[in-house]
Amino acid sequence: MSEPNDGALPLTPAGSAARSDEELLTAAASGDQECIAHLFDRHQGSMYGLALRITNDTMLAQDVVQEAFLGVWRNAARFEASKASGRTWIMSITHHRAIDAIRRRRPTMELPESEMPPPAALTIPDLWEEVAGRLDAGAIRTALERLSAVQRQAIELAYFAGLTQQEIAERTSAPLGTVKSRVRLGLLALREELGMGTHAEVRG
Amino acid sequence: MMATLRLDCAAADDLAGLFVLDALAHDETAEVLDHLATCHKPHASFAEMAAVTGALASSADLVDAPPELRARLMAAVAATPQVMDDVKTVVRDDVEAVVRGEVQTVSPGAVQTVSPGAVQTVSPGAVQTVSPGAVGGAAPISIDAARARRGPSRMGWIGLAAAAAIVIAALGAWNVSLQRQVSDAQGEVASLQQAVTTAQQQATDANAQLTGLRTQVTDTQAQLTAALARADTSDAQVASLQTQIQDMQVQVASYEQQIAVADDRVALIGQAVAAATTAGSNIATLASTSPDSTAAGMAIFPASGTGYIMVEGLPEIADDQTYQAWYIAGGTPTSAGVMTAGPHGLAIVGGLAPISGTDTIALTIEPAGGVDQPTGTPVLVGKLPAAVALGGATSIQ
Repeated sequence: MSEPNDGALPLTPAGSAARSDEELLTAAASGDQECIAHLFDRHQGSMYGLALRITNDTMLAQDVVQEAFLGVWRNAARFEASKASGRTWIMSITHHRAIDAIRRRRPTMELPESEMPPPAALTIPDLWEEVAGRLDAGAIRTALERLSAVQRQAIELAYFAGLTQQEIAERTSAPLGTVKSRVRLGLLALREELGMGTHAEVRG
Repeated sequence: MMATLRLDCAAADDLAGLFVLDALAHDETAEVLDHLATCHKPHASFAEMAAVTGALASSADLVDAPPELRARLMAAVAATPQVMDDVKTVVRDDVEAVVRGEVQTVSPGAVQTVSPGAVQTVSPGAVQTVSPGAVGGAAPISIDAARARRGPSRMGWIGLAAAAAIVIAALGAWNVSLQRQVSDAQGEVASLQQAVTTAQQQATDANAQLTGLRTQVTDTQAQLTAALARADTSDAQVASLQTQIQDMQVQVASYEQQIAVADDRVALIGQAVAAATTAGSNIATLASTSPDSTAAGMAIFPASGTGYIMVEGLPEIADDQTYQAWYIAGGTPTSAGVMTAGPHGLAIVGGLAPISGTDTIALTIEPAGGVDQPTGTPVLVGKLPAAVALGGATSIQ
């Protein structure tokens, strides 16, 4: 569903650093450790950033990244480029691990601050293929802010705070069906905001 | 779509957003995975929603991980075997041990034929397995080799449950078919009987060594007697012979202990075989979650009396660790007891009285002595064809 990403790192035209995530994952599936190392270098900042955002704990976030990335390595053969971009796949594994980690830590944990920290400067190319690298974290946050407050809240409680739909319903005093539709409509609206609509339709 | 599924396509699509956000309870996640693994309709909404979550992931700040994490991780990568190809490797050993080429799952659309060479240990063409492909990028595969971990895992029960759910979803179609096609439990019995043979061989080996050792003790005692009868025997020689005898007696005791353990195992396995062949027994096939492990086993809960869990090929673990079995009822784990692997990684426990509602059996590696709640991800997992009923199919001995 994503465009090839060969040109994403134009400053490094040769070697595995010039190859797309999908090509690197394919090579990694055959046991290529150099390729998996490049994938790590390319995505570690996003992985660790997401894990930190969710866990708010540097040690736990490192565990999460390690577990997630070993999962990527071990399961590289299961990656299907037709179903998701390499980055989406890697980040979904990272997210899943991070959510596991904080659910494990509950109920003693403090929920992460809902206030987002100030954006950091993007120092490496954003290789998020779905939108061909047009968006950085700031653009995505802007899109999030355009959602209705209740949709944004539902999505953030789910994605960053690791609450289940049931827990979101309790926390926001909303019926389960309402939570479900807030999440669904919020994600659809976000997709629209990010200009991913036509892309997805073509994919069918 | 198979008749056993609880979710229909519309209901599954309705949960797509929550699913890709990891915002479903694990039983709900398992239902969605069950549906996706067996439904042959496209369910494009999952891939679309997953792509949006890719954007959410990118909304977090980039933070460089500590350099030592990279070094540690790449060392772990070098030491961690990969899943060769698809879920088939998860069930490969189990398939090999239990099915022996007799089972073929047939779920149109959801099932892919095993690629040649991917499952060399299984009769060519005899086994098909389900592909988790329908789940796409939205399904994180979270089963890692526990040995690749740095120290005790902080991942906990949710991880275990999620991993178990994923494995079970992947095994779903296979299991349904397996239960139907080998309802006479022939495959299980073949495996158990193999285990009996193994245990008997262990007992025989230990017996032979014991006999040899007892002869040596007798010989040495005779030497000691002869030495004591001679005037020129030094105290050192006497002490040496006495030490030898003591050492050998310690070994004799050790062998006797091993034989007793092996005998117990043979007896237990015999009971387990009987239970497995009894009509109405509830049998879960336990599959390794790690493709590099040859461990496989089964949990057997007869219609009356207590149950058994038996596993072969368990990898060696550290002295301060133990295998621990778990009853999982609706996602809630309860300890079924610790399991000690003997030679050939054979472990069995009997006298099991699973708690009501147990639908899954899992094994984890835990600190020696066992723990109240699992701290690791499962090394083996299997789903019972029927949950244990209230009041129990079993009684506590």
